[in-house]
Amino acid sequence: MRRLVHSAVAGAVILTMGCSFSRATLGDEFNASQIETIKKGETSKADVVAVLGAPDRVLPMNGQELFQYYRYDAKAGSLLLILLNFVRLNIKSDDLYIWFNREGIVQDVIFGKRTETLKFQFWPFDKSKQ
Amino acid sequence: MNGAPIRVSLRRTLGQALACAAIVAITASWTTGCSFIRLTINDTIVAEDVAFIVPGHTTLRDIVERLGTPDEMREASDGALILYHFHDANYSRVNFGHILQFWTPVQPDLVLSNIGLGTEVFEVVFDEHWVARQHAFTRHPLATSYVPWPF
Repeated sequence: MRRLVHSAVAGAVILTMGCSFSRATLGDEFNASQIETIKKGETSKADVVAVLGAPDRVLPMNGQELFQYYRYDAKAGSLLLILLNFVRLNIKSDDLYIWFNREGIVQDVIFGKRTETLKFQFWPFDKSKQ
Repeated sequence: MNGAPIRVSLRRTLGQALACAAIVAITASWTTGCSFIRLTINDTIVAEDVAFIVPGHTTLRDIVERLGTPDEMREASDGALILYHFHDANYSRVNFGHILQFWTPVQPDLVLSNIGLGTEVFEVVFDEHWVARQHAFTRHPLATSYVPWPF
């Protein structure tokens, strides 16, 4: 049995021409301490811009204004064999939405960090989530 | 606030970068006989994941707690619309001529390939109090299987 395993490992090493890990990001990572400084009913639009910078999108929403900030993260794994290539590219985003009332004061904040679960993967046939 | 258009153009640039990455991956795959490539954007959302949504009761915050923040929000008549985008694409390619490179100085190509694009969006419509009114999946095709048979 051990000989079989050693043969399989040796065969995999011989057949493997190389592998690669690649990563791409767009935007700075959200800093939890910065987001915590944004208080409902207190923080103004100017304060938010001072902490987080200009929003990626400004949306009108039922008479209110909504700021959207986003960040993208991409991880790619490639396994290059002599006759076979396996490549998988996974992408996820983090989004932060901030609502302002008519006076320009924060009314609500919603933040989600999907990139925490982003993985490097080679196998393209996996049905499980990233 | 003047930086907003710049960041929006960055989002377009990301799309172009991803397209370039896909082209590079596909081009790189041409150096071997057989390639299987997959691109996934965000986790797939299925009907079971959204079964908890009850029109007239479920709020935006309930949905965000279960599904995460949406990718997009839009103003709608008497309310708002949120969208979750998730995509799954695959590419498979076989070059039957590749094997001949070990025996012949010339490598004739005989390539069969197939691309499957699965694009899907989950949409929820809210009233003015951010209570869900309706929800639905768009009816876009799922990615085809990894069979490099274009016929």
